[in-house]
Amino acid sequence: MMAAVSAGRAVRVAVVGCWLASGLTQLWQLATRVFAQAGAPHALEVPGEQPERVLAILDACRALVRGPVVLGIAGPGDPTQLFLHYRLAYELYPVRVASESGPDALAKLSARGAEFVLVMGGSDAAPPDARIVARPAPGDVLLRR
Amino acid sequence: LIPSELAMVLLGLASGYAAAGPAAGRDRWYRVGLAWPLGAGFLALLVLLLPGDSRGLARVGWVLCWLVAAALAVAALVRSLPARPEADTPLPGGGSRFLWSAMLAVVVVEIVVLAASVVLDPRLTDWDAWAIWGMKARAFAAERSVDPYLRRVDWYEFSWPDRPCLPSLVAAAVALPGGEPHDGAIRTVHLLWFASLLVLFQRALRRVLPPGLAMVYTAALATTPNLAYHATAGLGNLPLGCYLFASLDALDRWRRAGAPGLVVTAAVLCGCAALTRDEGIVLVAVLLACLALQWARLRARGALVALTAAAIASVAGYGAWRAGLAGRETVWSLWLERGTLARLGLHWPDASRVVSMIAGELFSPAEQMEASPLEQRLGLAVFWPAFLATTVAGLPALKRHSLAGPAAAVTAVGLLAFSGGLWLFPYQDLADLAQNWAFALDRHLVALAPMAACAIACSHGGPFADSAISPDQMNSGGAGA
Repeated sequence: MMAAVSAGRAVRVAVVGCWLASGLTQLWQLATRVFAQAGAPHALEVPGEQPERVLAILDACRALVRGPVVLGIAGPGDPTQLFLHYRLAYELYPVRVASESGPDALAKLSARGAEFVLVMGGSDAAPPDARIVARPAPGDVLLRR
Repeated sequence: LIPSELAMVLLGLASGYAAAGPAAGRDRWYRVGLAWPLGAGFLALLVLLLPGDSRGLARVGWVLCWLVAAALAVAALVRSLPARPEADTPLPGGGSRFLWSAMLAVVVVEIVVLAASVVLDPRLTDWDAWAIWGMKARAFAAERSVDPYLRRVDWYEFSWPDRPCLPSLVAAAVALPGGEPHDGAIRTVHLLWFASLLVLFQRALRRVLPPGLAMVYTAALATTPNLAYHATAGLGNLPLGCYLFASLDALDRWRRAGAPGLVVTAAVLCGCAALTRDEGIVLVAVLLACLALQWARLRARGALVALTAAAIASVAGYGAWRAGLAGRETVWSLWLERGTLARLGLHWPDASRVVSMIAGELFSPAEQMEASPLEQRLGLAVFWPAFLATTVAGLPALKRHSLAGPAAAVTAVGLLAFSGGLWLFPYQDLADLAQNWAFALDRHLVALAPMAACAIACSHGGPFADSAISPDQMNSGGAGA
């Protein structure tokens, strides 16, 4: 009986020791990272291999799109487009953001009342009913109807 | 925090501190621990009751009627509770003062470092934090009401409109004077939930463990990697964990000490838990069911009345959010549809791989939540294996323990429920399940982590580690005193 109690105690001490040791190494890692990264550029979780392109698009939309309008995004339907859909809706509220992909994306966005349209990776030419207001990155244009 | 945000935070803290008085009695630190969870609930209610425009009046009317009816029902139930004069006393002090001080220093340093991380880079980086919780907070604060967002949910489906979202409501309340919630303010209010959780956890353990041991486990909880990540990430999991643990603790305190204010406090905390996330109301139901079973064994007087009051409040909290979404399906419909049982058989051939996938998530160092260097070196997460080892080893004692028993039971049922949810999920293939859903386990389990930690702590040290102690001693506030 006493041996069982001692063994139980040993297991408990080992468990809490390991738990606390893990926690202390976490604290050291956190402190090192926090103070080492002070002043470093912000590391937003941008998907894809061209974060600078995405950040340039965000900057352009921040500067030009405001108010209760609809911003459409026409693109390839990849994670970068998904990110921009969510991020622009978050940053530009009350701007409403719609996202479409495929050959009829522009028509669908038009049907949803998009006043601004961000065309990702498309041609540099504007459709007849819109004008280009910004070219945030090569191949990306921001249109206004 | 800008001055207007700081003023709103202080308003929340002050109102919570005042409201916690009847429950906390002479335990000043317990009152401090309750101040933000309760105050945040009041701030969330403030935003829920703002109509914004005339079209929002109907929703506010419904919510108000709903909450007043629930409050009257809870008050009537609490008045019928038997008065019990005995006092809940913490265990006597003593032991190593050095150990206590060293562990307190660890807790303080953890909070200071987390606060520094917010000050040095206040922005939200986690996708879910800004796309779900931040999105709602921004919409509520900009419109000074939840109604415009609720009327345009089709545009914001990605932010899970059906989910109750107390943290977003609180962030919006803090930003009401300024009109725009800053990422740093959102992260700061989450840090307040984290700090409150640690205070409540320490005070709960202090009733069953000596000071040094209670502080050791508090330090271990404070530095648990996944929890530390959630402390400022801006997600709703940590506030839910705080509310669930605080509810359990308040109800256990009431069973021991009998102050009616504790039942009212527990009811408010349960309501807040149900308003925090969609799984909140289910976890509250599990918690109340586990307490009912434990209290039936202990023949606690008035147990059914107290638990009913908490249940009414939790339904009221959930309903206060759903009032604005009448007609829309809940997120639970996915698991309540007919095909769910069919998927049980359909996924049976995947059983072993689904189980190993879930075990892999629980036992592997969490990449996204920044595992500790020790975990990375070991290639093994520490927390959940520790819970498993200690609950198995300490099962006989846990079954009799009024605080740790329900805590362990809720954790175990929650683990099974989240795992079962993955099994029954309509996944396309196992790769889809692993890539898109299994990783979410690490997040959801944060809500259970404080209770799991409580079970580990109570089964480790103090009088409950000794098999010689009687059940009566274990279940009285003065055990070992």
